[in-house]
Amino acid sequence: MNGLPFFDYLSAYRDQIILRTEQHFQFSAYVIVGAVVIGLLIAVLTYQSGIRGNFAISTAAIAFTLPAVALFGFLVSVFGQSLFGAVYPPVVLYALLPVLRNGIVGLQSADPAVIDAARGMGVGPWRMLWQIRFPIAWPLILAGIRVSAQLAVGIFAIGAFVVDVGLGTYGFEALDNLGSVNTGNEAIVCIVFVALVALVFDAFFVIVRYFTTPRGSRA
Amino acid sequence: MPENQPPASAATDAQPGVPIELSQVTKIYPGQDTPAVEAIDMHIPAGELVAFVGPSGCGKTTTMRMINRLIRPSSGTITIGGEDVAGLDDVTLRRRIGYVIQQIGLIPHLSIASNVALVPRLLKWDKKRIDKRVDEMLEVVGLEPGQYRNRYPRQLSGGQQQRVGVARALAADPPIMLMDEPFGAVDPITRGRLQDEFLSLQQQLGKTIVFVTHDFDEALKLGDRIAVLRQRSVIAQFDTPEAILANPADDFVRGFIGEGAALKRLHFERVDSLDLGGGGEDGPDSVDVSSSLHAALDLMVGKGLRSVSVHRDGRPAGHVDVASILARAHRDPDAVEAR
Amino acid sequence: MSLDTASSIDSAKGAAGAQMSRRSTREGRAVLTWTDLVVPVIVVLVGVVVFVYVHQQSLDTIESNILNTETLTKYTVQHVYISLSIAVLVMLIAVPLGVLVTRRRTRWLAPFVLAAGNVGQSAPSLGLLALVGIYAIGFWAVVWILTAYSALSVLRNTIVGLEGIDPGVLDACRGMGMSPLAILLRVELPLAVPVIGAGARTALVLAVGTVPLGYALNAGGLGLPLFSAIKTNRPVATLTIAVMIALLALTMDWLAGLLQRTSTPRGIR
Repeated sequence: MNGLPFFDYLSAYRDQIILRTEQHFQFSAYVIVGAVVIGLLIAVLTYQSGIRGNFAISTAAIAFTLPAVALFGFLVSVFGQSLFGAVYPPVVLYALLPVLRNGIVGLQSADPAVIDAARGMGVGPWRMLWQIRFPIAWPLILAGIRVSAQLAVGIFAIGAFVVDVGLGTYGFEALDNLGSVNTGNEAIVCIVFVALVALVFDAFFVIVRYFTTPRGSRA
Repeated sequence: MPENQPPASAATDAQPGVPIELSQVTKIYPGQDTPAVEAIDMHIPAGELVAFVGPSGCGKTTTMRMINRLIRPSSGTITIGGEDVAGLDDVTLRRRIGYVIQQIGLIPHLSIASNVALVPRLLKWDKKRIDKRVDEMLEVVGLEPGQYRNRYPRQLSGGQQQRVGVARALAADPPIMLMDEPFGAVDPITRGRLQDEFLSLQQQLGKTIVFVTHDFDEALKLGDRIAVLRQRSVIAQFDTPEAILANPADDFVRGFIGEGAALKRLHFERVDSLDLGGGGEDGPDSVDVSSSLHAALDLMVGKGLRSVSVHRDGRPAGHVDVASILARAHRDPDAVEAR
Repeated sequence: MSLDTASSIDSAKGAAGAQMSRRSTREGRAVLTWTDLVVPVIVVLVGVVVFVYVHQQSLDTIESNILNTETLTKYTVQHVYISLSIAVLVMLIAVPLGVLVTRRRTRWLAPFVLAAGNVGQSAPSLGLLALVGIYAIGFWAVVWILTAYSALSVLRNTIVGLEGIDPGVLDACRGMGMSPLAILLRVELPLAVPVIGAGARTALVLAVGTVPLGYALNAGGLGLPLFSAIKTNRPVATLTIAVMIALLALTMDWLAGLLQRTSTPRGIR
């Protein structure tokens, strides 16, 4: 443990750390967008039927039980070390579940009386979904997206053993070289910057929540 | 809506009601042997409030919900103003029918104003007209627009929420209103006040209203006509409140009227239906000839009087006493029929 | 205290768990129903397919070394042993802590404990393992760091489970003169079993999935063969071990689910 002091390490490897933080941030953002789009699409297609909704949630929950390491490993063996083949799909899959579950539960959560009254006054199905059910579900959906973002950032770090991108690289470098001089610095960079990226996403969604939640549905 | 307020223009220019006709309307839910509603025939005249009363599960709500096609009839036809509702687009139809339910169903993320503006917006009124209409409607139901416009449903009491529910249903000035136990979820005192206000509002508006309730006294108070329904929505009796009280069709209806039918009947008989004796000196307490016998009796019991003078156009027209009112209350129904 | 914001994996399992218990209620409160056979059938099918597939491949020396039945069995047993140790320790730490922060006198602690847990969990397990690995390696190093890491889900679920109990029930118990300890042991904890159990399952699955990352810490488990297969670029071996880890996670989750349901009082099953 005679490596550089942490802050010297930071300045020595500044460019590389910034690049990997940017990668981590950017690729996580893609994953979140993908998970939100797919999750909400499935939610919209399944929320009306209890059976289909439960089936979607249960299937996603089983997929969720599969360890990330195993999924990455499996896809590497099939597609090789490819970002699109072996990194994105598992991360999107894990990030999908919170959005999907909260989306389905949220869309189903509107008070039946509200739906009945609106239907009785001639609100059509499309309008009911986008102007009544969706806004009512929004706080819950947003909470799901926040959880998704945390998962995406965390699991993307593990994906670094497949393709050398993002901040997970530091973690694996440290693990593979336990006892060498910069191991401690690499581990701390991994921990601190991954947490930082997660924090930035979370702060972003807190701000989104503040500006998109109407006063009527704020707790 | 409160009595001392001048009638708002919204109320006076209101579109009058149109008649509703149900013929042989039946609803059988899938997988059930017995129909929920069996071949009901009913004519609901324009501008009248018809109260559907009956025990829970008798099909009264189902019958009502078939009028705006929230439930599709298995067979039979329903016409509104002579037009078969089956031939209309559901959504278009519903925008022409006001709808008020017990659970109110205000949309939680929309302000009170946006809730009231729901149907006008669906009908693509211009914004100015909607804003004006919203304020009018809030005034009509006794909510000061400046104070309530920008609030949210959960900031209102149950009674206030249902006022908004009524305003919302009336916003696009539909000729017809469907109301499913609208005052069922509020406390008795608020309920009484809402009923009174709604009654005077309806007297100005003259909408055709189907009003579902299981409270017979509410039906008596509000209904121009009452349809007493038994299982499968079979009409046990369909008549004016007076006639039902005076002459219940059978034990089922009698059971529904409950205790105190004789006393309730006095609500519907005017003081001048008794022999007033003419002229006479004027006492400190008096009732008008158009008052109900119930009101006269109430006054005498309250003040501990045996009799009270009766005025016509502000001039003494005779007396009415406790004994003669009681005699009228005890009289057998056939005598009323004969009158 | 905002429980909704950071509920991550455990709430997912919670939803599935609640669904299952609802389903079994409808079908006459049986502990096992035919839907419970789905997971074991999948596990066995996939296992057989992979086994047959591997046996049809011609393996080089490195591959046959990695896929040696004896060593793989050893690693699997180690993997289960580490994961179970973590799960048991998590329960021993998180449940009492959850009980503590839901008692009236110590309730004020709850937001702090949860905040600390949330901060801990936003750090990547990968980095934590690397950091710990500098100072200590071996079985206990992996067990302790992953215990600390996954305690949050059980802690949060314990709090949610205990706070979700109908206050009327607790009031009635107090009114009948039950002592606080008796209420805790005989009413509160049994009623909270489904929610706490869902958290424990999450912790277990998380452990099974994270233990491989401890491959460099000499604690054993399937991480070692997995990463050597990846590093030596041997797809067949990588696939086999990845599938084994996945099947292990599914099986342990399934068993934990059964345990959770059998330990749930009949009335709320």
